[in-house]
Amino acid sequence: MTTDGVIMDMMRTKLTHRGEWFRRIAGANHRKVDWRAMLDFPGTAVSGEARSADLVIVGQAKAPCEQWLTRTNASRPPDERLLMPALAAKSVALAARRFTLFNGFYHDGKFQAASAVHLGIAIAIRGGGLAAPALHDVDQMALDELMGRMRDLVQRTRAGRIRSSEMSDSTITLSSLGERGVETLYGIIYPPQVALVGFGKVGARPWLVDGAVGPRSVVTITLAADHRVSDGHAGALFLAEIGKLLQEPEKL
Amino acid sequence: MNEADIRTVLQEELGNIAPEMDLQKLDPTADLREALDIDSMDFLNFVVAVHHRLGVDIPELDYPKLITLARAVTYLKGKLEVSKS
Repeated sequence: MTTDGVIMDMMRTKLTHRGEWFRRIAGANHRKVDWRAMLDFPGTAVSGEARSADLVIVGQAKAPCEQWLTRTNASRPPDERLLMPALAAKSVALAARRFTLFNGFYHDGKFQAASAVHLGIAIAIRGGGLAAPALHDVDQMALDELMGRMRDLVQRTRAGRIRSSEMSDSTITLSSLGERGVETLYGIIYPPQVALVGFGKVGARPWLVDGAVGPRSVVTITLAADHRVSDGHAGALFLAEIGKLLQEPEKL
Repeated sequence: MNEADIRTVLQEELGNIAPEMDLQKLDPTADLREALDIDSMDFLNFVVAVHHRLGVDIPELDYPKLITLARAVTYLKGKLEVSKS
């Protein structure tokens, strides 16, 4: 099917079992074998910037997600408006609750699934560096509350006003805020976590629609996961679930 | 509130988001996102703050009109004049 919405059969899932040794992460003594899966997902593209009139390409299809955000925000004052990273966070958290092999910790040679979803949000600190403070129970948080928490967290983290107690106990990490950065983000797992989901920059790309190439907003969602715990097939299903959830933002 | 007052408010609020930048030296025609390295979440925080400080409505569709300091001053001055009359 080729609507502006879910284009599941056009979803391209690229799995690369690299089996590569990952570079050592500060504080982690063990080396990790990772695999990455990547999902180019059309029709989910939204960000504050992409929706700015100066960046919208004429004739570009509006994704349901994008339309929903525009509609929802139109009648809201600024401090109640929603942005794409909140939709990304909620969909990742809901998918992580269902796909338990990506939510938890690898300790002493075995994986322990977490009973809650505490989502680490990777945020660039001004002047350099990266922090991934945790938001607790994101899967159960209403979208409005989640958006408010993320906005507060980004503001404080980027200004270096984060509490150390916020830096621990994430069960999975999301990196989605590098929206002026790269199209495809290859994140690195924060041990002892076992997965990191990356949202690349949203952008218009040529896409096959009804047998013809047309412009579509596309965001590439990537997954870095610990191969000792999960495999590429499970990763593809996990990513597909995130994509599916993003197609129905009103249910998030 | 004149243009200088509006500019001061904007510089203060941008300073809260990008405290390490010297906003006195900010090119008024520069794209704020590029010049100050701010993303959509930062930008929304900026809009929220300006909305509260000046009491003007800033619909999402008007965000492009705030993309440089000079344009933002012009836009907000117009908004304030409308709300006064």
